[in-house]
Amino acid sequence: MAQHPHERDHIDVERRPDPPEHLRPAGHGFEMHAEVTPTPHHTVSVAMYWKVFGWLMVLLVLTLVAAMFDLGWVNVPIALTIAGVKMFIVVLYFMHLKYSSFLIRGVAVAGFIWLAILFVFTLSDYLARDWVSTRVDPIRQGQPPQFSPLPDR
Amino acid sequence: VSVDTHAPAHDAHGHHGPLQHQFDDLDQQRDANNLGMWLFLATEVMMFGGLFFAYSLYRWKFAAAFEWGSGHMDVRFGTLNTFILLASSFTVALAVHAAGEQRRRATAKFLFITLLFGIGFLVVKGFEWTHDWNIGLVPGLQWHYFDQHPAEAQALLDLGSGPHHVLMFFVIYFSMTGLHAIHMIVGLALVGYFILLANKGQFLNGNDQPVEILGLYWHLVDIIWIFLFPLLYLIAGFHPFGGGGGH
Repeated sequence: MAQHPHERDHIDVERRPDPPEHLRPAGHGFEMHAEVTPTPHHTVSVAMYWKVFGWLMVLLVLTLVAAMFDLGWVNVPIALTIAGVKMFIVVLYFMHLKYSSFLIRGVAVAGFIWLAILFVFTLSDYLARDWVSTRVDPIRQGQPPQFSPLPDR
Repeated sequence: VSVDTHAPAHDAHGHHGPLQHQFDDLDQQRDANNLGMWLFLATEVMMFGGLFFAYSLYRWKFAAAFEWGSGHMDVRFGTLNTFILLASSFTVALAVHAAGEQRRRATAKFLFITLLFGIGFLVVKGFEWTHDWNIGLVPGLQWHYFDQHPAEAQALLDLGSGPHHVLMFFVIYFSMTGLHAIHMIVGLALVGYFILLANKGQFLNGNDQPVEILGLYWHLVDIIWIFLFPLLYLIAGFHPFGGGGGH
């Protein structure tokens, strides 16, 4: 007998209802259910999610502690580095980029490359604008342009 | 053999199954869905990137005013909201995990906790914005703070800055947190809708990919806040033991 076109779907798409309340393991619901076959794309365990969350909390406290000390210009790089680490572990573990295909990783990085282009090219214009004074100063007319050591804030 | 009245032979990958007919298998479909979402997220990074750039430029130009403006932010509210969003990222990750394991109730539960966190975030933000409104630090609508505090305006002018530079800080502050809040509202609407779908069993039987895609969006909104928090709240430092809490 020829296989019914929906035969396969009937097997794959079989409804798997939740077990009745009294058969479920007691507790908070974080534990793995042994009777459910994990799907192959599952690469991060619940324990790992807890660990990642714990690290995010540590980093949150760390960024606050770092802000309690006045370290001059060093404060900003420290705060941004901590934020960057937070982003990395969210992207790698919560967003599964660590287990994603090369193509998806490439797309994820591409957004930041474009962002870097925006920053580097535009800031190099803005920051360098005041390096050479292009104003015509009536007193200094005829003299070479003024170079200032630092941009005029 | 059951009688299936609406099953022509060419409809082997039926519209009611999780696998759309243009894909070979679920893995390929999952990769394609994720790729599309990551492309969207890349455009989001670029959109917010424009605001981050504006922030960087003006902060460099108006350093003193940005420090003053940031000093007006309440770090406690910012910290609370950062905690809330990080926790919501955690619960949404657990929802994605539960959906992958075909656990209908757990999926709905973790999405619901995410919803509560998200609402909590917006409530805290609402308190902050109301405070800014009341003291007159909302550019264009309620900008009278320096009229009532001329000494602070003078102090800024003495630093070579001025209230008009602080205005720029708050323009950027409201643009960034406002666009972020719009993303939160969109995310919350989706999470609410997905709770209903999850309860109906929509994400069972290998059809859990929408939850994963929603999770990606939520994490991105979280990541944007991860950067907004230090840039907006911590410029002027964190002084829990006196001196803090703004002016």
